[in-house]
Amino acid sequence: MLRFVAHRVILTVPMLVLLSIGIFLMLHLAPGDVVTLLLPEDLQNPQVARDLRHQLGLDQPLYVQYWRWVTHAARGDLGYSYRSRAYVGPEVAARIPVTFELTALAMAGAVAAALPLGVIGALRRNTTVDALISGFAALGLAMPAFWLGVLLILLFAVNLHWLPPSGYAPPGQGIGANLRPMILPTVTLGIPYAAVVLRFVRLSVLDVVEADYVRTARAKGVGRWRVIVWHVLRGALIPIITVVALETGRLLGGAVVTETIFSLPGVGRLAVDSVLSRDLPILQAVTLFMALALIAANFAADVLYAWADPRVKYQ
Amino acid sequence: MRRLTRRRLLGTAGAAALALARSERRARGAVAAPTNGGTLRVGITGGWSTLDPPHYTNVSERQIFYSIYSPLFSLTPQFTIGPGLVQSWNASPDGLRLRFQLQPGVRFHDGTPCDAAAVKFNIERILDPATGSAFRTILSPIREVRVANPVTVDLALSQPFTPLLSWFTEGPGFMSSPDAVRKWGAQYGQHPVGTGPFAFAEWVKDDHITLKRFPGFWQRGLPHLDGVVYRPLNDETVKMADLRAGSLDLVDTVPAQQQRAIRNDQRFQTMVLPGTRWPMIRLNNAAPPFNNKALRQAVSYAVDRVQIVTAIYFDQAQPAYGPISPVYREYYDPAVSRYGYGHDPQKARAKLAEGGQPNGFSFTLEIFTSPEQTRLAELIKAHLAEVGITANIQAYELTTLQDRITGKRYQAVIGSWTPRPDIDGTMYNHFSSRGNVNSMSYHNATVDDLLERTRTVPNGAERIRLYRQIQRLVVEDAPWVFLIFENLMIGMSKDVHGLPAIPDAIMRFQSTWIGA
Repeated sequence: MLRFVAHRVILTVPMLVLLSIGIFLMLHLAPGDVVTLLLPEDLQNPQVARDLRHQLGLDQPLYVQYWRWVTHAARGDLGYSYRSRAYVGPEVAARIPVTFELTALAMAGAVAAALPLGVIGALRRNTTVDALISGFAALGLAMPAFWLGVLLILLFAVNLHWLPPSGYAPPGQGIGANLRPMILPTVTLGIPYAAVVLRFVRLSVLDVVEADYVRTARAKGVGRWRVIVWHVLRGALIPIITVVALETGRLLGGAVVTETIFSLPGVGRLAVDSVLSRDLPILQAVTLFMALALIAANFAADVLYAWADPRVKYQ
Repeated sequence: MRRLTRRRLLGTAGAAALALARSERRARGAVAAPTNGGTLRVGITGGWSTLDPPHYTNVSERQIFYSIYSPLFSLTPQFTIGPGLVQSWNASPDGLRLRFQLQPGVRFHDGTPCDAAAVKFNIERILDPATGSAFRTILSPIREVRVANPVTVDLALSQPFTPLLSWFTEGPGFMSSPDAVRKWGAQYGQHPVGTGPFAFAEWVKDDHITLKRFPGFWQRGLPHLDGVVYRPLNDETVKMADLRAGSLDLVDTVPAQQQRAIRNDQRFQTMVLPGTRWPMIRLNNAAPPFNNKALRQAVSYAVDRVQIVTAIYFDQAQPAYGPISPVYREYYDPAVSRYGYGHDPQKARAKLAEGGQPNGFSFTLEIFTSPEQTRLAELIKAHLAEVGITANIQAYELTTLQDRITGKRYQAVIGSWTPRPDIDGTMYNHFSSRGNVNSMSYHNATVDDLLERTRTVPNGAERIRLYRQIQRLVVEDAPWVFLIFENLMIGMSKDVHGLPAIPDAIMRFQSTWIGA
């Protein structure tokens, strides 16, 4: 197991290098000159623009810029934002807790809802209950976050006054204060994710429920719920873990939209802002962070496989 | 004695009620004394990257500057220049020397004095190429800044530059604490220290900026508020939802389609600033088809501005017949609506024929991907189709579009403008061959000469006459398709009082107070 972990960590390094080159090239080759955005429109003086480009090192050849960035990044110095001139590291780090909280809540809530619903759907397949659950899943997948989010705001914040329309309170201000504004974003982000997981749970439970070992367990006289939880669910877990991990990408992508709608100060919102303002140092750090998060999620899935299925052994 | 008829009775009662309502409103506005305390929660479209004035790039940053900093000069509701940190000033007859008399005893939030040396430091900081400020070119006529005594600053100019003082009402006019600038270096924009009514307290990126009352503010007795919290809300729907739900007291702009609802809601009041933003079509005068003046004029005649005002801006705008908005008061020439381009398909067709395209032509109209610009472009496309001109709409994301504009790689593009405190910021920039935003490649030697003269002539009748002359020439050449001047609407709770209406659409809270 330890060797497996070490192996995976080592593999991550070339992956990151390739990623960093990809990200760097994509961002630098995208149309749009950052300097035109850094100067007010009526002060776009060619001389000032030239000075600024030089100051930011944008007049250097691409490979020089890349090398400088990557060598600095290796030492933990991610540079400073073109726009705010604030250091990138702290700037991005400050947003991570918000995105982490949002995605963790959405993931936990979604899995908590999707597991029972999926199992019920599978056990009661082709009944009205199953149709309702599948219908919910289809609807959940079809509703775009920017639409669902605004709708939730109008209903729960503007009309009912139950929840604030936007904003964020750090956990330091109390769990209640922290969670209240997180409810609507969590629901917005969690619903499509729950829909995907639910469909997978339903399918994999359907696969397993007819399997020989389940029939054997029933024949032995094992209780109904024990069969479902210990035999069916355990057997169905591998594909479920896979989808939960793989769909982390969807969560992070969804966080970009959700954070923007609800004005949450997370990494996703920072990504949008820095794309629109071509703030490359920030954007490089953000994409790298997201890539790392995805790698970590997949890694966690691999480890969980071994726990869920004794047949899986890592050398 | 005349008999009191029913109608008369009703009439009198009605008039009395009206008078009562009017006086009540007056009583609420003027008689009620400001109360101190409370925190104002403000929603702003946009976001902030830096609070360092020489490096700011957008209007939302300017919104906060007026709370943290005090400018050297203030802007009056009449859009003229008034005293700020500079108490009084005079210029030598040749316009080459300026003397600023500063408010005595002004201190920064960190306790250091804002004296002549601090003013010199701030101006020289912008002039230093190492600072990388966009305002360097604006201040370049300044040859030397001299401290005459602790409250007197002398500027020596290499040439007279009339718009200079107006620039000191914004970006270059905000004084930062030299101590803080030295201490924080490049990070100063994250830790601003000014002389304004509110001191910087906390900044959670993309969530809020909190400012606290500065007890040592140089305007005695102000501010009334304990603090201001600014929140960046980029989604208009969410911003308005926050106002309605009571989690904001004030929003910087009410989008056109929501203005009626806010106006009719008893809980809110609005402030309308006419003509503070104007969209236009910039035509590339250097490339076909719009290197042909007759075709530029044809498009200008084909557009129905009145319909744009009603359909797109719900009557919160007025048609534009020239580049100068009524916001510029005496510089606005009402005659322009007579000699400018009205909606006249007949004349449009005649101009098409004159331009050698009697059956019309087609071109690409580039826009920024916003709902407003899309609606505007669709309507204009329909107007142009009536006279046989085909506009193909092409939408771009902002940076890409900005690149195309700067690189002059377009035929026609919808742009937008908000007024600089001096009319020079609008006119010279766009219509001089040396202007920074003249992406149209508009060249008219007479206009160039006249614009140079407006920079040296002092404000007054002569300068007004020059601008009227310039506007006539520019309208004739039609480098833009003039569209409309939009009203900006600020929306706020009816408990918010004492917000001055300054036409640059920036909110200043030093005398604002909250009370029922």
